[in-house]
Amino acid sequence: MLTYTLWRIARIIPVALVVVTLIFLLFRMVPGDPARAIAGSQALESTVEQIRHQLGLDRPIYVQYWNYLKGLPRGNLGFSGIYQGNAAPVIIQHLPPTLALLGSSILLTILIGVPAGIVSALNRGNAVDYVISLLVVGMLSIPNFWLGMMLISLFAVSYHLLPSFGFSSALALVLPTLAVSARLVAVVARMTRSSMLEVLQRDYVRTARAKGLNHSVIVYKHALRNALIPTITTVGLQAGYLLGGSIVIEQLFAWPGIGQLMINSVGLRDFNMVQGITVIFSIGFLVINLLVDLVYAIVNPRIEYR
Amino acid sequence: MTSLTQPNEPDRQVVAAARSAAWRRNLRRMLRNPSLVTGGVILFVFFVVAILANVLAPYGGNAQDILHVLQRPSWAHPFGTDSIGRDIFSRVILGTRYSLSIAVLSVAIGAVIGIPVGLVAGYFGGRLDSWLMGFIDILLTIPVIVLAIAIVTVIGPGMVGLVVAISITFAPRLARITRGRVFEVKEEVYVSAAQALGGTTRRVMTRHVLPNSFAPLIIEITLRAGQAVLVGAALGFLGLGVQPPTPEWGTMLSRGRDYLQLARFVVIAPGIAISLLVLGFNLFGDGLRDIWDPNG
Repeated sequence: MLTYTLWRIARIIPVALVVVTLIFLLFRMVPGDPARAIAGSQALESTVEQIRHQLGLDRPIYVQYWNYLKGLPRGNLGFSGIYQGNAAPVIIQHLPPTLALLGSSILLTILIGVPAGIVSALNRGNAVDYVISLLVVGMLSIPNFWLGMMLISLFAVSYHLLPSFGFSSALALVLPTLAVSARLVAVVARMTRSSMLEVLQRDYVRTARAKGLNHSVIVYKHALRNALIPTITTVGLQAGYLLGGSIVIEQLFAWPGIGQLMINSVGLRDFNMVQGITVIFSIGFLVINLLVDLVYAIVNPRIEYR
Repeated sequence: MTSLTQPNEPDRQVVAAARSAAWRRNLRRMLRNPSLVTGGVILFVFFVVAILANVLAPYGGNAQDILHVLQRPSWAHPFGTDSIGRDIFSRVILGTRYSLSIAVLSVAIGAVIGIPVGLVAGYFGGRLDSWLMGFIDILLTIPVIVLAIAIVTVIGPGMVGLVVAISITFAPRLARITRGRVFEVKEEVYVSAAQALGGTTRRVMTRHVLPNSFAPLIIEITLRAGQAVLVGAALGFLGLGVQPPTPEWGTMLSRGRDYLQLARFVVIAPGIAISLLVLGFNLFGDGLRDIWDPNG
């Protein structure tokens, strides 16, 4: 298990390197002079020249690239013109609210999505299954930010039950979490349903039935464990949606995380900050998938540790 | 060579009859699938509304009536009016064009880039395949919305930036699906037969492998089109999509939060429009999957 973990971590490094390179190249295509953008349109040409020299923007692009790569392990994500310094500490400062939102969304997804999928599978073809399937298609179609607005309008504006903005208390997490996780709940419920249906037809389940085992033992011990494996993979694949969805929802709920920081930085034309956050989100995706793979390895004893 | 591959006239008639019978069978199966029919009807209505938008909209998209701002829904304004007195009903109708164009264009461009890459990778396999797929897997590690925001930052907000951003995020996903399907299809007997008959690589790829790989691709493209609507609306909501005063649904919702207290109706109609259009694509895609790929 330890070797497997280390091997999986080692495999992330070249991928992360290529991703960082692509993002670096993408942001070199921003039109205009970055030094001028940092100095401001009123600045003197000599000031712009000085900034350009200080940030190494007067050197060839491969030197800039090399310096950027060298800076990454030391936690240097580039110079933010708005914060007048390294973007990394600013991003780290905005990280806890985002992590809280992501964590609670994953938790809620598992707590609702998996049982919904099981109930749907066990009631295959009847009204319960039909209603759950309809809810799933519905939740896959509603934009998360609009769902968020409706939740605000219902729970915060009409009934004053829950706070609708800011990162002040655990209660403030409720509405943004619901808005982010609705789609994930639907995806997980659908996946759990179809893999449960498949597993319930397997020979070992039939054998367990033939042995006269209790229905709930069969469902929860024999079937569910095996059915969860594709569900876990699905959660990993949806990590991209989770991270992207949090950006939109943070904006709606004035949630002080890195998603909001990213959108504000786009507005302020703080490109190094946007670039830094893009890098952090991509690496976050890799890390979530690493964790999913490790959980997968624990749940599925057949996987080979290499 | 041509005499071997070109069927003669009676053969051709038999083939044509068999084809049309297969089509009828297919059509009957499609009409019995409730998801497919519901999705199809929803999409059809949206396409008709988009085409006839100028006729159907009672007011201009940017026609202001300063004396009637934030009016509740009424006969004159079925969905109410917004903060500067524009008719929301008309704007939702005109907005159909933008959301549908975003969906169709970005999915089409994504397909034009992604499908050939997947076809080549899957057909030739080997080192080319592992390099291409390795690169694609890396592209897939950048979350869709994040990459789209980054691209829009570079290109600048607007319709063009939006379509480029969404199609760039979709192309690698379509390439992956194509490659997986081509990998299966190229092992089929009819592909070997076409190769043995001396078909050029290009002909085998475009006439035999690609058409037989279409089913999963069309399912994927339909579901992706729904996602394109969602991503386009999300970027519009963030102020990075189609710019105001264009009546794009996401953009119409971007200041929606401010009205939740006093004029909730301002955000109701555009949100329902987005949800319905995406629902149409999702139901249609699910229906196609039920018919073509029941185990998928």
